[in-house]
Amino acid sequence: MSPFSASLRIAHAELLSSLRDRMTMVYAVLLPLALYPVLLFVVVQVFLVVRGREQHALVRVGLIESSGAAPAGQERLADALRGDANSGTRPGTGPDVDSGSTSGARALEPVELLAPRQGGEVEARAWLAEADGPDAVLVGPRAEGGVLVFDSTKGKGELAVRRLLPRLEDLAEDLRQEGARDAGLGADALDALIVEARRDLAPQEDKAAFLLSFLLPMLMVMMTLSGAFYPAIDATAGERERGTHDTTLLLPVARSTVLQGKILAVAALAMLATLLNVLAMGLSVGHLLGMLKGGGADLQFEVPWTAFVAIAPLALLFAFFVAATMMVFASRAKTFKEGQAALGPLQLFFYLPAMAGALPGLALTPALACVPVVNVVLAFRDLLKGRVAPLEYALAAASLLVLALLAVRGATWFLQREEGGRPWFAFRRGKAA
Amino acid sequence: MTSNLAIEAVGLKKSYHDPKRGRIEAVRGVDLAIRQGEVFGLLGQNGAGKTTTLRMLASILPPTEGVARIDGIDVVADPIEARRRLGFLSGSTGLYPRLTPRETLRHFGVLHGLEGAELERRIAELLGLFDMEAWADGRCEALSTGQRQKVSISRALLHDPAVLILDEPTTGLDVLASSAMIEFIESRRASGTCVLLSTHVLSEAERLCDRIGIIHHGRVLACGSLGELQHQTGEEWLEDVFKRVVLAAEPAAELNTGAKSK
Repeated sequence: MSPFSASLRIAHAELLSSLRDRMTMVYAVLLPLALYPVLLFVVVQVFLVVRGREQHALVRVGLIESSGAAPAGQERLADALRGDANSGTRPGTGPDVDSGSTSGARALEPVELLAPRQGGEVEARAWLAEADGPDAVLVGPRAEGGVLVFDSTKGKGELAVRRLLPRLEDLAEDLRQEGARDAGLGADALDALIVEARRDLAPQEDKAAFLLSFLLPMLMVMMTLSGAFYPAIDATAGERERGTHDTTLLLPVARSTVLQGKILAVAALAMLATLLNVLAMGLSVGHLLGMLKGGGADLQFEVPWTAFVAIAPLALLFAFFVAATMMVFASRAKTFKEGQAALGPLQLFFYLPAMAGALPGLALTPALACVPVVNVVLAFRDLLKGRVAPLEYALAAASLLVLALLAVRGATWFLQREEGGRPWFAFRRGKAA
Repeated sequence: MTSNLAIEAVGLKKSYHDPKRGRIEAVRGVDLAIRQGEVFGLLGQNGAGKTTTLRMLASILPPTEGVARIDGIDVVADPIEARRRLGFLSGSTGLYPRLTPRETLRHFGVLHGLEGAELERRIAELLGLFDMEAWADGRCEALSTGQRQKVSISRALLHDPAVLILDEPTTGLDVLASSAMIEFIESRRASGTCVLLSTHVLSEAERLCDRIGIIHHGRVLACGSLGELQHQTGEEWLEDVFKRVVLAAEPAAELNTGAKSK
């Protein structure tokens, strides 16, 4: 039997044993499958409660008028802002399909108009900053439209914009259609008035992609660690605690073969945990976004499956690296507790670079491609965004492979001290029997 | 290579460093020459160095000094071949708890080079021999101590080794299971297998062993058949023989196993 076949045989037995272990099943399989749906269920419930409360919350709006605006126009604007259903003349103004609200719903979303002032955007910002100031200020109307100014750090700023913007857009569309009709032109002959909110204008898709590329690589690193943690201890300290260590050492194969088999098993379990985590998270988030879409939170994004195909080889190498490193640190432990104590701090050495790698603005350079964990996070991030840097990607893969092999070598060295063959370094500490 | 010796140890030593007690000499130069078909008993108190000696012979631990051979194979130079010729069994059984007896035997069989129909035939033979068919597909963790010992014996015999090393094999066993173990050892002697047995149960040694070695503080102080030991010490019972040998050595020996070497 070749050493590789023997390694696979040992990995098979380890996997069989681990997958029958309750704790491994909980951490590697059940937790990922249950965690995300449960967490997202909680998020949805919280979201619904918040939305329910928001519906009844009073939003205070200030109006900064341009001089010379027609009183009739001001009246109509005020009606529109208050959500008066009769303010629009456009057919079908009633239910607002896009925003998910209706005229009836608008009645539940009260808006209070404050006494108007004169000025421009500067005055609007000053007004917002006042202690008893409005939640949003509409500057206009002007010939080209209006500007809604708000402060997103104030509790109801975002809510005011979510509530007012659709109403203003409806009014603008009504005015456009009326203007065209009065001039005897076609329905699309005139441009609509522009209603602009002074806020982050990045497209929702870009923001979602940014959020995903920021969070997912870091989460994948953590998922791999979490998946490898228990099996790594089980395969080392667990064997000593159960009294099967000697049995394994008596197998007629080299210690390095035993170790490689165990590392393969731990890496496979880490990958399984990562895969299940990503799947469960993807399905849950997809479901959540579907539920939230009707509420106006249309944060949508799509990760092409090719991105995951590109990530897979690097993820495999990373799982191998994590498994080998954890085996090195756990190999000296004689009990589960010792194993946990050894691997606990080690996790920080993975978490901290993972978080550092998730910092916005950090790019995958050839130098960073050689820094373990950071390279994986940055490479994952690039691949999720659809960017491929072949040199950096190859460097990251090579760096992981070299480090994983070094870790295997290190773990073998620890086992060598119990080997029948002479170790390349005389190790004198430890218990003999 | 010494062809007629199944187990050979020459000047076998094992020392290690203990952070609290300093340098510990667990085994201080053990010489053994055990023939094929012989049952040899290694008697000693707890901490005398029995288990360390057996683990070195089984290539689990590297000796600090000396030579150990199993069926003529140097366990340091070729540990894998030495393990192929060896069956090792301890009182703790060392079974993988989440595998079934059948899976355990298959796993060890494959790694010992058995495969296909030959492997399945051998497994079936052992399951039948030890009456294990009824529970061969349940997990080992659910088995009784006696059942585990049967699986452990089957695992040690699966590859038909030339040498069996048994480390306190009856520890923790009830009377019936101990009796079954003794019968098993007798059956191996009848089949010509060399058995090296460590125990501190003197009645077992009296009944089973062709020769006995008394180990104390890491040294074999006396070695021979029961009759030879009786003759050397002038005592009739093995218990008295053991006491005389050990007590005679006490003044000369460094009393504490933790004594620091110079």
